[in-house]
Amino acid sequence: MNLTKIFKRAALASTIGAAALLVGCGTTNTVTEQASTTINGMKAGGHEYILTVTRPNQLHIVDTETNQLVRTCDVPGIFGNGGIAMSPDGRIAYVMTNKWEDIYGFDITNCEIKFSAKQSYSNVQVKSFISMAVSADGKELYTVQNPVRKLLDRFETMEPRLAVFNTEDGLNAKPVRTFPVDRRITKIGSMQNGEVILGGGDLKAIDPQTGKVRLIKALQNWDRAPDKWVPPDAFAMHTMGEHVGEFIMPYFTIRWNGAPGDESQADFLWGHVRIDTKTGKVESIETVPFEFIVFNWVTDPNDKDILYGSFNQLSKHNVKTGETVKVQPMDHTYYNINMTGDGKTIYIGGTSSDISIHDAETLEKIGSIQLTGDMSTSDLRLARLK
Amino acid sequence: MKHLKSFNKKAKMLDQATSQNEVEEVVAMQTIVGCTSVNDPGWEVDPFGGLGSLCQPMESDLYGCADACWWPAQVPDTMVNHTAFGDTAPKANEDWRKIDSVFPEE
Repeated sequence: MNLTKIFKRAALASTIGAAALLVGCGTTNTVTEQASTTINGMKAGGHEYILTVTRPNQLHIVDTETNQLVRTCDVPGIFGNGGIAMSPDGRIAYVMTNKWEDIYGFDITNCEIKFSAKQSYSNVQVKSFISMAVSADGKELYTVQNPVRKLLDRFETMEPRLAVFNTEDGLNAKPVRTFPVDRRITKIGSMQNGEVILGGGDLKAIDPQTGKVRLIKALQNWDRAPDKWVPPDAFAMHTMGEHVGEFIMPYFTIRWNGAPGDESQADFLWGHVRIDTKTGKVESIETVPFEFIVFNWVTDPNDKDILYGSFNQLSKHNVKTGETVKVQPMDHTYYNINMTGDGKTIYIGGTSSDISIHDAETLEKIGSIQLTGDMSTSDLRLARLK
Repeated sequence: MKHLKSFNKKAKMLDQATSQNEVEEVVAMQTIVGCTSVNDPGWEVDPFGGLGSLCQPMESDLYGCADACWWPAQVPDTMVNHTAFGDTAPKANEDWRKIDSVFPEE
């Protein structure tokens, strides 16, 4: 939408609003929101921001248009892990903090805390390993809880569970439902149909209303000949794919073309499972040669066959042909990667204290943002502020 | 276990569990007692047998491994027991000289 259209729409909306006031109908607030393209000074209307968390414990919001840090919010508690899940309207950032236990929901336009939940209680210590997601309608927040009861003479390891919070419960929210889930779930995401994707040894989905679990894709337990394939080693750490509406998880495997163990004839491959969070369509493919480590993939919004990965290199791959299109050496290790919805700019973060900015076409470094401390295991998420 | 005799109640329970092959009752401990219980040897070299694919430089990776309870050697556990370990050093690659060792409390 160009500026002229915005002004015309605003003028029209103001006229309708004035007319509504004359007949006693209070719609002026809605009109004001529509007419405004900023919220608390931040560009809205779908404007994109990159978010991350650093030590000592701060949430940072970067404008993708200017690549400037626009807001920093102090996060309560001790740093860790710095996971972030965004509300669908891009306004509330749910941050995992206090040694991987508590969640705080920040209004990113003013740092106001709108939601909080302390997961540990009495003698039960509850940790969530990155696993946090918001429902497609924004009404529910999900975490996978790993509880342990600390007794005087022993620790009692309890069953992991999916915890469901109502985001409208505000401060000191408690789970409204819990359901048992597998151990070792670290990476979760929400689908438009209401299910929550559980990324662990295998990929599953749970209905957060009933607790019913279904298998999406067997990985650790895949049904392939063991003399032909090595079971995949999935790296299910950070959740991403919000810029294109997908959940994507890389894994490593070996295809034995000769005798099992004969590395001279084997293919060492990156694979991935990619789930369209709108349709539920699942893609699983192994084509990219394992030439170096990546922690995460992100998909090029303009060409789904192109993936970008980062670790000690920024790399660009064609998953259809298996071709490594481009490789850009990095200054240091970066765990995390994300990109803008137009597919033009890549942001690489995590690990240390700087976000490295790259042109998606050439992979050339075009900027850097210094932050207050190390990102360590934090997420690097894209928010579209509506 | 042939030459070891269980002495206290807990040891007898362990002995009984192993004799019954109840291995499924053994669960990961990393979320309970902290990172130092997790030692993951074998990662001193990368998958190609070299150092090129390890995190670079090591200082940048310090918190990334300690926070997630993962390290090929043992570092202070920031998740449970030594949460203030990095308080004076928010940027490990610049401030690592300020990071103290951790000693057992008396």
